[in-house]
Amino acid sequence: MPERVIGLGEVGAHLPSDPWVLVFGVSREGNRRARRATRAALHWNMAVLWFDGFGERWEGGRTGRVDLDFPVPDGSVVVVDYSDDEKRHWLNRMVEKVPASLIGPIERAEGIGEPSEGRVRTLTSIRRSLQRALAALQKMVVRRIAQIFRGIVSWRLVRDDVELLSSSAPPPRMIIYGDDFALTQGWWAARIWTEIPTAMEVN
Amino acid sequence: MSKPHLLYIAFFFPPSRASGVYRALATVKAFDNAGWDVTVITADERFFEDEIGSVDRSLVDLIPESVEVERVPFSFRSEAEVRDLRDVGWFKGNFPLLSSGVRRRLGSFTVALDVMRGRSALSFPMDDRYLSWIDPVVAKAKAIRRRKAFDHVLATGNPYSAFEAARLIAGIHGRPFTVDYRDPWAFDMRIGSLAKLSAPTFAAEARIIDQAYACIQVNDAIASAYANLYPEKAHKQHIVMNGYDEASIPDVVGPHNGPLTFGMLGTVTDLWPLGALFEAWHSRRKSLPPGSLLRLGGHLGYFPWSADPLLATFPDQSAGFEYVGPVPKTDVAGFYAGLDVVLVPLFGGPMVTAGKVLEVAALGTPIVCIQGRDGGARHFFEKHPLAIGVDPDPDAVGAALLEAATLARTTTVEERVSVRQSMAEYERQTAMNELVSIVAQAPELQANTVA
Repeated sequence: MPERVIGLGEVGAHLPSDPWVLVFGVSREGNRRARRATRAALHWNMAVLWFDGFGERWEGGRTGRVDLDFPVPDGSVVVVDYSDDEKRHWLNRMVEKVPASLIGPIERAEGIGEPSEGRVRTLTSIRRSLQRALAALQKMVVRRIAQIFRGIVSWRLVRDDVELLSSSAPPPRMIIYGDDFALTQGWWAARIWTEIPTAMEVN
Repeated sequence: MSKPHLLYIAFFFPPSRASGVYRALATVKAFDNAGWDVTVITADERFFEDEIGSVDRSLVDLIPESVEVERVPFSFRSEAEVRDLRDVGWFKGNFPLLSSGVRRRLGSFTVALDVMRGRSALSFPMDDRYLSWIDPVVAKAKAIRRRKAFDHVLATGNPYSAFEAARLIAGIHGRPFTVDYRDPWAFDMRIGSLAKLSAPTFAAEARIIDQAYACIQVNDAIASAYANLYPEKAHKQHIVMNGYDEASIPDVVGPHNGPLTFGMLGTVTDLWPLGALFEAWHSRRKSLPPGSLLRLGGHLGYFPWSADPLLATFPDQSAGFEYVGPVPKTDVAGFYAGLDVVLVPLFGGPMVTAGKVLEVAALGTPIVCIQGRDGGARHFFEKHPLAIGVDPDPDAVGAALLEAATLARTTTVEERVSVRQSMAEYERQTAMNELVSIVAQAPELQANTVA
């Protein structure tokens, strides 16, 4: 098994062999915990399959090697980097698109008809007010909604790969979830492998 | 007439290898043999195995088959660390942030709810690290009661949260309860005076003793101290000493002229006066027959992390020392069979009489007890013809080693057998029958049994 960073849908070509540990990390904290879990698993001679939603800048991107700041035996760690897939999810696009879709018409209106100082001043004022309101809306509502659903979104993204693992690979020795978002992934994975211990850290 | 039913609360129970486990095992055996139904409430195996790593699987086989064991989970870790995700509900599983946010906003209401439900340390104002075990134990007792009524609640401590659980269960179900102190709660065993506990803790113990049917102590010093502390309840204080297990005593063999093996067995802690012993061994070893050995068997501390600091203090093999590691209960007799002199290094004052003392006393083998002059074990060994008691001083210990070597070469088989016979009353099950008798005298039980 080559040691590398792969994308969603590529797990089938990199199935882990027993013993291995399934690791989920979504946020920066989850990434840190996933690193610690990986180090601990390697210490116990276990392979690691790590679903990384944080978007670690892996050396060389998806074709590069896993750089973990500690020795990694060949073929023992495979990282599934799905951070770009998450960014492309409609819920996350909405976070960016909602403000743009509302500001756009006003910006266009500023350029319609004869430019008059009063009209431009009024439209600019409206646009700025709307921008402030949208920024607040984005911060208070849209981003929060995205955060609330981030766990489920993350799980939906990796679900097919995890289900493929459950049918094609030996069961993992442990399911590690590195943060609250990854808890949802771990929660669902724990329902697939009903006997496998789950933990936030490897002791 | 139905069999009486004992609900026994013992936090440490096999597979735990804590020192109190042997007394707990002997207790359930004694009640089982006396015709009681016994249900044990203990902690979960995960705690013993994964969290404190202090287990001896062979002990599970010693639980009588008819005894029911109910395990109530406990952890020192925070809820988030230990939670099996399968125990997490759908809402938290899918919306963990929202769930945490809701819980945070409920804030003080949640805290108050936890206090009322017994899930907070504030629910039980006493010093104990096991308070969160109380409420689930009370709930488990309710579930057991629904299946089968119990006649008496017996709790062994420490942890003393078991006592509080017994008090609550007894109050809820209108049954009497007894507390079996393996160690004194209110007293510091090392110095024999009152321990530094909070006022609410003393109040909690006073409440327990006030409401308990009986309080069982392991020696006279502790029973007397409690009788003096609570004079109105002095009549509730009983003594049921620890005992030795017959299976741990090897056949008697006579003296021999070869190299001698001095040895000790038990869970080694940094409280043992090993420094004086090792120094004495180094200085007097040359006066012993060539090839003589100092052998140590047992776990190093009660937790995995205790081992390394202790190992660092041990002499190396070239000094005639060997550490043989943990000795399973089934191999204890074999370990003792290989010893010519048994060493008993102990800390503390009159209240300290380790269970091992009785086991060693029954061997019929010369003994060197290393403990302070007022030590409980020293006091016990005063009447033992083959025991030499010494202070933890290298010179005194060295002299005692030589004296014990002489005893090992000169004590006849008949003398050894005689010592063993004189210790028969301390056989563990014989000793524990006294506990059964005390509990069986409870008026409520007698009334129920007659009815």
